[in-house]
Amino acid sequence: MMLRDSSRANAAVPGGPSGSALAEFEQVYRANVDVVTSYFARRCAEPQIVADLTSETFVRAAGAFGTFDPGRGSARAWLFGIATHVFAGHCAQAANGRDAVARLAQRRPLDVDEIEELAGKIDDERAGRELIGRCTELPELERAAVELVDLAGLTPKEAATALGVSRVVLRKRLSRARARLRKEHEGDG
Amino acid sequence: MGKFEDRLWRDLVRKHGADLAQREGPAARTSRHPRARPRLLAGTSIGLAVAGTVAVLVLSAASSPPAFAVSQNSDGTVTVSLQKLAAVHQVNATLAAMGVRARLVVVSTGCTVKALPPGAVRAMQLARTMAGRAAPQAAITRFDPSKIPPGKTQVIPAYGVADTVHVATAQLIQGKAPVCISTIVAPACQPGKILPNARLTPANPADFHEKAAQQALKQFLARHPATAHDTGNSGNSGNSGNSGNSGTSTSTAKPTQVPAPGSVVDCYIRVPAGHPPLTGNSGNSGNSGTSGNS
Repeated sequence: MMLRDSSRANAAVPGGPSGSALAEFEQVYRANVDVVTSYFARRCAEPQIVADLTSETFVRAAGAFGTFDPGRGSARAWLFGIATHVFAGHCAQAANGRDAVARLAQRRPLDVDEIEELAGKIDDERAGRELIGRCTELPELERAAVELVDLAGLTPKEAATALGVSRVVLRKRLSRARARLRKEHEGDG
Repeated sequence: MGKFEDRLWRDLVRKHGADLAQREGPAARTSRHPRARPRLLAGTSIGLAVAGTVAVLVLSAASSPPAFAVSQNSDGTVTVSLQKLAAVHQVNATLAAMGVRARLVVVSTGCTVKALPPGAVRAMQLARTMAGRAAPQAAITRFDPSKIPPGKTQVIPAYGVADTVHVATAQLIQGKAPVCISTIVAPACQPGKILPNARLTPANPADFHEKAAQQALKQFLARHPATAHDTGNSGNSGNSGNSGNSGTSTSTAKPTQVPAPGSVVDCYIRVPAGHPPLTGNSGNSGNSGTSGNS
């Protein structure tokens, strides 16, 4: 399982050489594309779906970059807010079969190298997927808190921003979720 | 970065690069304009902090005149004051945060989403003729959120005239507010064609006086008596004044008697000099600006 370092430099978005939105967005992209891809790799075992969801997240982020306010939270928290919505939309569509055709028509087919690369990432996240599997009995917010903080490496503050809850609520839910998981693990042992 | 990530970045640049390159980045913008702290309105120039106001939200920058204000009054009504059209989105965000199902919607000529009724268009025209006079400091509207039925949204049209902002009469619509509202563009009158269920407007939209319009119609009818008969109409004619019905075809209408002035037309009377005898109507007219109320 790849637990991520929360201390990585993503709290602020550097201005970039020209201060243009493109320069800033590129820095946001390069700093976060790996963790966003891993987020989806923990949730899906199909490379093409991981690619589609990652692409959709960044396409939405690029379109909405003008609304991003660094004063309200880090770029990573903002991106994960988008990613959780993208994944929720994917689940809803998968549940009722809607838009499947449209999604297939819009997707960019991956070449062999990309499939291998993403398959490797999916493999790396196997342990994370197992942990998420163990969290299925947890309430949704607790599950998301565990994933964003313990697996994706967001700080509790960033995770709270991404999930749209207060830091206090996030910490309480995270603590409760960890306690339950620990208890289950001890029960298994 | 891996190959997938590189390729995704190229796709993003291809799709959004030009747009992003022209904009200022959020970090650069924030460093130039630090976030303003919300402040209470009491004592500011708008003067909305009157007795009875129980809560006031102002999100404009403290260093400049407030672009908008949203306040909840003690009787449950909400007052919105708007000084800059650009602040419409902030007003709407504030209303959404307050749980109020009312939205300001900008009136724009290019919009095809929803049309204003003719009465509101006339009010806009009147505002334009009065634009040279003393302009109000802010467009202010007040409404009672409790009177907005479930499932409906109160839409308040907002528009700018000569650097001043105006709001038109609010309308209740089913569902969410549209992203914009269009005016109904009155079509040119067709010689030989009488539009049913319409009203007269003058030849010059800026000259918004009923008498002048009546006079224009009389002159038109005197010059072209054949107008009394709608013969040989080969084109489609739109009904521009019928509360948002647009493009109502009247090409199959029976010959129409000239109605009394005032019951005709919400279109401009434009008859070029040396117009040929009115033996038919070969052109298309109609509502070219909108698709009507939906």
